[in-house]
Amino acid sequence: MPGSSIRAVEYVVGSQKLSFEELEERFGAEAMKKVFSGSGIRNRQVAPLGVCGSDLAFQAAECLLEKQGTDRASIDLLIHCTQSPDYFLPTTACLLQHRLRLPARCAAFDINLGCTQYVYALSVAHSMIAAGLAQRALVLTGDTMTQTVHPMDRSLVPLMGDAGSATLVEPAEAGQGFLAFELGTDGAGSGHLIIPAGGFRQPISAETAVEVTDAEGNTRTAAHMYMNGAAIFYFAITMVPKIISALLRKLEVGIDQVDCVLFHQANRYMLDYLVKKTKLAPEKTHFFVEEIGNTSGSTMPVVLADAIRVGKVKPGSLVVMVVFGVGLSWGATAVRWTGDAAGSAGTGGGA
Amino acid sequence: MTEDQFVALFAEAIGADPAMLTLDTPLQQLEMWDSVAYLAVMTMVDEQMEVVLPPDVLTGAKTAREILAKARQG
Repeated sequence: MPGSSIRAVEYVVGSQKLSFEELEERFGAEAMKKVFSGSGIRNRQVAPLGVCGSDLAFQAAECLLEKQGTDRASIDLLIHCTQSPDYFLPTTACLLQHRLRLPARCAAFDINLGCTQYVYALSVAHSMIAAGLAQRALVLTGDTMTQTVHPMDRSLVPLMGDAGSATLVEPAEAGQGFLAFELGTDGAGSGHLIIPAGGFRQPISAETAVEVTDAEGNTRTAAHMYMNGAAIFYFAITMVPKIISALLRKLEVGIDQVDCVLFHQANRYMLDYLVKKTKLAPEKTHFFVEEIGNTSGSTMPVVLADAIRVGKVKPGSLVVMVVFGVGLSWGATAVRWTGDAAGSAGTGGGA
Repeated sequence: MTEDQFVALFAEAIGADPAMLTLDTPLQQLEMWDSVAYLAVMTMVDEQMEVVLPPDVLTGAKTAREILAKARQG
């Protein structure tokens, strides 16, 4: 079975900086001091109203195609990952196929997952290439989840940022590129991270617009994102070590043989603890969350691009990517890196 | 781990004055007993006792004594 690998990754972040100082004014200095100590996120990059996740994905894709000199006619698979689509229908991937001037023979569809979307999309692209259904895949992520958060929700506003990314996936020799995937789901935890209203289960109504303030002073309506932080943290620190172990068992390697382990960039406090808990040498991971925030499903391609930029991921590296979050859902992949050492690192742009 | 050691670590984790905290201090009376404190206690117990306490144990606990008892049960 032919393999596949990541050729290049690019990303853009929302153009507006939501600074620590602005949130100090909104939530108070003492509250923000505590939030910062618990998250490690100082500033956030957010997209202004009117900018969609697909706009960020589009910009990242244009940047990637231009830098790589990719023939657009050669792309026969477009996977767009988002939980903040332009419309209920059509699927945003169709809009992006047209906007990016990709050929009509290009299959295009969305994957509706949050924090885990990137690894799931890579697994689909890899599988379709391996099955001979595609030759060159463009995997896009793009979300503006900050627009789903109530501005007075102190549990979420300080954490979230917006970003989009583009990844080119191409065939590779066996033993190169993607080596294994580990995917899983626990829908019993779906209520821990949810926007309850706005879908067909609970349509928007006067009732869903009622603001409620919880015991800790966080205000939201049923149409805003809610997160049970303690439950998500518990899920992460119990599940992530198991995911990594299961993946490494498939490869028959130990964690000491992995060159770089990249985690979903939820927040710095959680990541530091995961590094400690998995007994990973701190220099074998990479963080890129303090200045842009948790960009949901885009955190993995963003941190991957930055790890390439700083030389932690280079040709020949054995790289593990681990994602976890809303669903609850998780995924991991191991990659023998073949992408360009230079030219594939993304840089933040405006939107 | 002794009870005194647990109280000291608990106080440090949530940023409370250890002199003002006992195993039986009502947690709901503590201003700092919030969602950030739950994470700090969860990691402290995991590191010290190798037990990851489910969040409902923390949110439902009335005192540190209840949390210590759950941690000792594993």
